[in-house]
This record gives sequence, C-alpha cells and structure tokens, in this order.
Amino acid sequence: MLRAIILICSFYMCSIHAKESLDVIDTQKWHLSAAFGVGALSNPLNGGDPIPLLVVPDIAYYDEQFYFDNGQLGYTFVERNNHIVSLISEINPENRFFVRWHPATVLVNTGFVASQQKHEVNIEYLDKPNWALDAGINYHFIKHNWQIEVSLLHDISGVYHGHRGKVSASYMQQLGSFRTHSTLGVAINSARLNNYYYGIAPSDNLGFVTQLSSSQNVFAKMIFDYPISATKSWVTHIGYHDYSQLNDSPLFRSRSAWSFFTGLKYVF
Amino acid sequence: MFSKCLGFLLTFFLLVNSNYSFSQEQAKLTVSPNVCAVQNSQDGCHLDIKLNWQLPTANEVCLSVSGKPLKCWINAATGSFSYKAEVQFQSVYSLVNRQTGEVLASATIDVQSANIKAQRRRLRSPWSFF
Repeated sequence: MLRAIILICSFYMCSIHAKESLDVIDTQKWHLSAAFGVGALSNPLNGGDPIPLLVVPDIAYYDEQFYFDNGQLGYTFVERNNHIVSLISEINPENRFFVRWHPATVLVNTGFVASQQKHEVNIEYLDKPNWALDAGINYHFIKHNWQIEVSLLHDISGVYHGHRGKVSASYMQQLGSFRTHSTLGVAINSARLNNYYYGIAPSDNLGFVTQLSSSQNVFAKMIFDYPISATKSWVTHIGYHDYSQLNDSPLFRSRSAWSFFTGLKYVF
Repeated sequence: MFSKCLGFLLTFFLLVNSNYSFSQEQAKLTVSPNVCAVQNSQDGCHLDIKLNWQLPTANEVCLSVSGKPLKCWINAATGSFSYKAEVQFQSVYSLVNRQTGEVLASATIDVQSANIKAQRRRLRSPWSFF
C-alpha cells in the first residue's frame, strides 16, 4: 500500500502541471478501440490464476443522457456546471478472481491447510460464485483536471444481496503530447458482498466458517498515453488494489493485487 | 483504516494543488475567439486565431496547441501569434517553458453545436475493471 502511495506522490512532485479539460467524447457515435500488448492482473486468491491482459477493448456510446461505456450502462439526469449525476448499472467485478484463465491450473489442487495462524482454502474447493449485476447512483465533480467520483450500488441480481460504494479522485495531466491519468480511491464493500465472495459458509462443508465484516479497500491506478498518430497511441497502465482488510478470509494468499499493461492502442 | 485512507487522499490533493496554483499565477495567455459555434456536431469553423501572452519576467517559451508546437520565443516577456485554422473539436493552447517543459498558462477554444450537445464528459475508462 505504502509503495503505491509513494509511487504516485513522487510522480506528482517531479512532474509538470498543465491545465486542460478532462476527456470529452462525441455523442451519438460508437467509439471502438483496442489496446494490444502484454500485461496481467495478479490474483490474490489461493489457487487463483493471474488474469492475462493481451487485448483490452474500449467500447463506448454516449447519447445526450444515456450512455454505455465499457460495461457500464448509465442515464445522466443532472449535468450542470461541474456536477454530473447518473443512474448506473454494471457487472460486479469481484468475480474476476474466480475465473479459470488457464485450463491447466484446474488440475492443481492443493486443498486447504489449517495452519496455526489461519485456514488457507484453495478456490478450486469452492463452488464458483455467480456474476452479479449492480445498480445505483454515481456522482462526478469535475473541475479543471480533477475528477472526484462517488458511487453507491446495490446487487439487483439477487446474487450477494449486498451493496458496495466507491470514492475516488483522478487527476489528468498533459505533458506535451504525453498524457497521464492518475486515480486514488477507496472501494467500500458491504459484509454481505465480502461474505459471498470471500467468506466460508456452512454450505461449503469445510468444517469451519469464516464471517467477514465490511471493508474499505484502497486502490491506485496510473495510465500513460502517448499518441503516435491520429489512430494509434502507446498505452501503459499500472494498478494496485489493497485487500489487507480481508486478511481474515482463508481465500487470500496476498494482501494486494497488482495490474500492469503496456501496448499499442488502435482506434477503429 | 478509513481515516488513514482519507489522510492519503488529502496528502495527494495538497501535493498536486500546491504546485498547480503556483504556476497558474505567473503567466497569462488569451485566445480570440474562444468559441466556435456550429450547426451540427460534425461541422467545424474556419477561424483567424489570435493569441497573446505575457509573463512577469522574460523567459524562453513555446506556444503549442494540443501538444503540437506553434512558435517559440527566446528571452521574451510578452508575445502574440496569429494564424488561420479549422477548429472542429475543443482546442487547448499552452504556453510552455522551453527549458523545464512546465506549462505556464493555457487557453481554450470551445466548440458549441446549435442542434444537439455534440460532446459530453466521458465518465468511465476501459481500465475501470482492472
């Protein structure tokens, strides 16, 4: 966690400050692009595969009020001065760590181990959780290069019956043609969400039960974008997600997840 | 934990804002006209663009639009630049210190459509999932 904060702070202290508005997008037009490169999202769960990042699509369509942007469906009912309020719906991302990205690893089965400190459970021993659909409200405050985002969502698919929230601050910089976008935030998960994805229930039949409370998980992201031509740019992404508040869960082998990607982005 | 997170966020804001306000108070850049009014979102404007800038002390600076250099000055405290351009999207002009790369001032030409709102703020990034 501290390393991520130091990384971001030192970047800002050494960098040059520019004034430019945040990203705008043409309405009534599909925006399709994809980044081709190498990268991965580390998996903090016992028995979980790192998620390979080879192609990262970017799909968006904005109308005056409705929008679809990379899996999020939204309806903006307030867009005044620097304030934007929308109703949104999106897939809950927590299930990404349970997807089997490499078929070979399904055969690796280390079971669970009861150490003196805590139980350790391989996710292969558990039923795969379902994907959940969340809906709720999202607020953006945008001023100069700053963007503050607050969202509160509830599970509307009846999968985990809980809610989650997010508070984040982003800062965009233009250094000549080089553009950076940095985000620091906290993801707030309800106890029901944590228990569904990361707890151990009696129905898991492991001989013990783990109940988790709500958590506030810090995350930080940086995106570097260097345009090469009108349709191509070089993109690098670094992300950090802290899971230290879920340390009681026997599913976690690491207290954090890192993501990295670098590659060529092509706008279609 | 939550108060710790709040502390980090505040430190993050203070670090950035302290430098930001310092550089903005030093220089001035104006662009005329600063609005391009079009009928439809796909249209553009042919404009005679005039830019004026001033600094408190003489410096080596360059004027650029969306990262593309237009003109540079050596040891100057004021300057102006005029040119013709077709503007279809919002254009951001920047006055950059040639030696340090610091953006000293900026000015914007906005594009406004009469029919529909041609552009919106983008609210999400493809990297939100990772």
